Amino acid sequence: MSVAPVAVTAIAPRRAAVDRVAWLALPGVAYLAVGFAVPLALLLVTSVTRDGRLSVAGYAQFLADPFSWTVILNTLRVAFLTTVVCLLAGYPVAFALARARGPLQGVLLAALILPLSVGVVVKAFAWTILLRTDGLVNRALLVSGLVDTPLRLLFTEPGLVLGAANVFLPFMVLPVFSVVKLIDPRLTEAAATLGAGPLRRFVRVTLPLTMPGVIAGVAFVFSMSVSMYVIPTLLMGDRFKTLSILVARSFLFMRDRSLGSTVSVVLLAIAIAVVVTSALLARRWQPER
Amino acid sequence: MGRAVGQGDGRLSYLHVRGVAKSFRDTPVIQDLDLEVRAGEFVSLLGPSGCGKTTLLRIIAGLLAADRGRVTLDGADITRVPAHKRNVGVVFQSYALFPHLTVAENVAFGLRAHGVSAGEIAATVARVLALVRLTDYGPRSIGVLSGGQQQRIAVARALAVKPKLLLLDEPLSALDRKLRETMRIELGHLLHDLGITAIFVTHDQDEALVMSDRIAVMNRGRIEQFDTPAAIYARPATPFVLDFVGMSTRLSGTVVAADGDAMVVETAAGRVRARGQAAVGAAVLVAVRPEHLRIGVGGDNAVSLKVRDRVFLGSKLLVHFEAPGADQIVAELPPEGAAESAPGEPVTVRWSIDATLVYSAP
Repeated sequence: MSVAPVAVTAIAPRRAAVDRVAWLALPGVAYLAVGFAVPLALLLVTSVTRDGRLSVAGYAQFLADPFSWTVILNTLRVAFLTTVVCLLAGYPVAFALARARGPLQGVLLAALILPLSVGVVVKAFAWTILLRTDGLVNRALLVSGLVDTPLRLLFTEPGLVLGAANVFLPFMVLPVFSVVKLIDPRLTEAAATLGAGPLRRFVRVTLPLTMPGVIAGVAFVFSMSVSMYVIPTLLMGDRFKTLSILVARSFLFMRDRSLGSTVSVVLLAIAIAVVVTSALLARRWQPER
Repeated sequence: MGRAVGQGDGRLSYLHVRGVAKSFRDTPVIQDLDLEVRAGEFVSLLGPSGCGKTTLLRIIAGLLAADRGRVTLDGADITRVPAHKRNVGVVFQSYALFPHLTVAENVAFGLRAHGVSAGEIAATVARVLALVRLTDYGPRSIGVLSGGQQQRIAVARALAVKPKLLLLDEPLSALDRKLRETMRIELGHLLHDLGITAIFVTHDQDEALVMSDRIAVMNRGRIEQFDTPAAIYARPATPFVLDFVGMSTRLSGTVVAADGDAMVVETAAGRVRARGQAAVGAAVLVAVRPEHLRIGVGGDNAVSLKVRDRVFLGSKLLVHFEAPGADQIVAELPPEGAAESAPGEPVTVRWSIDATLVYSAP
C-alpha cells in the first residue's frame, strides 16, 4: 500500500505537464480547422461530386485532356526552374550572411526581408518595367554591346522564372542561413588539415551539413512557386497556363466549381508530395544525437 | 646520442618558425616569433588566453597566413603551402568531428582525401581505433559519444593520415578535471610511443609540465622562455614566467650592495642575498619557490614574518605570511614540520642564496 501512492505521483505530474503544454496548440488548431480544413474539405467534396452523387468523373475528365498535362508540366517546369535559380543564387548568399558580423548581418537580413513587405504585385510590376523591350535590362545589354536588337524578355518563361526567383529568394536564403550559422567553422578547417582540398571540403562536409536547410528552402520555394498566381499573370499574361491560373479561371470566369475544385486538389496533391518528400529527406540528413 | 642525419635525429630542427608576425586590425598578436622544434619532440605552447598561442598554431597548420616570417617543416618551406597540402594534423579544442559521419567515417576522412585504397583504409581505421581503445566504436554516430571518447576519436582521426606534425589546441580543456588528468597521462604516453612530433597548446601549467619535453611560455605574442619543464620551473627567465608557472614568494626591493657575483637587496621584509650582478640602487624583484622556504634560523637568507594563514593540502602545508604592498610570501612545508606556524605568530623564514631568483624590476 505504501508503494502505490509514490508510483502515482511519480507518473501523474509528467502526464499532466505534457497535456497542459499540448493545449497551447489549441488556438492554432482551431483557427486552421475553421479557416483552412473546412473549406478544403468542402473543396474535396465538390471535386468528387457530380450531380449530387459521388463520382471521380471530374478527375478522369481532367486527366484525360492533353491540355491539362500541358498545364501541369508548365507548372512543374516553372516551379522547378524557379527553385533551381533560387538555390544557385541563394546558397552563396546564405554563407555570406552567416559570415557577416555585427551590424552588417542585421543590415543584410533587413535587405533580404524588407522587400517581402513590398508585396508581390508591386514587385511583379517592377519586373515588367525592367524586362520591357525598352526596359533597363535590354538597355544595359544594348549599351554593353552584348546584343544588337532588344531581347524579348517580358512574357517569356525565362522572364517569369527570373521574376519569381527574385520574389521567393528570401525563402531559400533564410532556412539555409539558419543552418549555416550553426555549423562549426572548425569542421572545414579540420577537413583541410586532413588533406581535403576545397572541392572535397564542400562536397563531403559543407554540403551534407547544409542539406537540412537546402531541403527546407527547396520545399518552401517549390511549393510557393508551384501555386503562384499573381506573378505569372503579370509577367506572362493569359496565354501561359499554370494550375493556379486554371483554378482562378475555373472559379472566376468559367464558373465551373467542379473543375476548379478538381484542379485545386491536383495542385494540393503536388504540394503535399513536396512537403512529405522533403520531410523524409530532412530526417535522412539529420545527424543522430 | 647518435648524430645520424634524418628524422630521428633529435639535434636537427624539424619545424622552424622564423620571424613570424601576425596582427588583427592593427593589434599585434604574434610579434617576430622564432621557434625551433626537433623531430619526435613534444613541445607545449603555454600562456594565458590572448597570448597568441592558438594563432601561432593556426599559422603552423596553414589555417591562417602570417603577415611576415617563414615556416619550414622537415626541410621544406611551407609558408605558402595551403593547409590541405601540408600534412600537419590538428586536434581542435572543440574536436571538430564531422557530425554527419560515423566514428569510422570520421577516422577514414583523411585517408579518403589522400586516395588510400578501401582495404588499407579499413585496416588503418581499425588500427588507430585500437590505439585510442575504441575498437568497437566504428559504426557509432558522433553524437552518442562522451566528451572523452570524442577527444580520442579526434586524436585517432588526426593520426590516421600519419601527419608530419601533430598540433593539439587545448584538447583536454573541455573535459572534466578527473578525466583531464587521466587523459593527460594517456595522450602523453600515446604520442611519445608513436614518436610523433607534437605541439600542444595549453593555458594549464600542470598539463604542460606533465606532458612536454620542452615548454615555450608565451606572453603578448612572444616566447618568454623555451626550455625543459624542470628548467622553466627552477630558473624562470622572466618575472612573467615566474608568475605564470608555479607559485612563488616575490619581494620587490633595491640593490644596496654588490659583491662579485652576489648582491644584497633591501626589501620591506628585510635584507636578502641573491646571486647575480647589478648596480647599487637598481630596482629588482627577488623571488623564491615555496618549497625552498623553511622555518627556523640559519641559511643565507632569513627574515622574520607574521603568519597570515595555513592551507592544509594533505601531503603538504602552504603557509602564507603577512607581506607589505603587492609582495607575497608563501612557504610549502611538510605538514609535520610546521607546528610553530600558527596564524599571527612571528616566525623566522630562511632559504638558500642558490634558491633565490632575481629580476630587474618590471
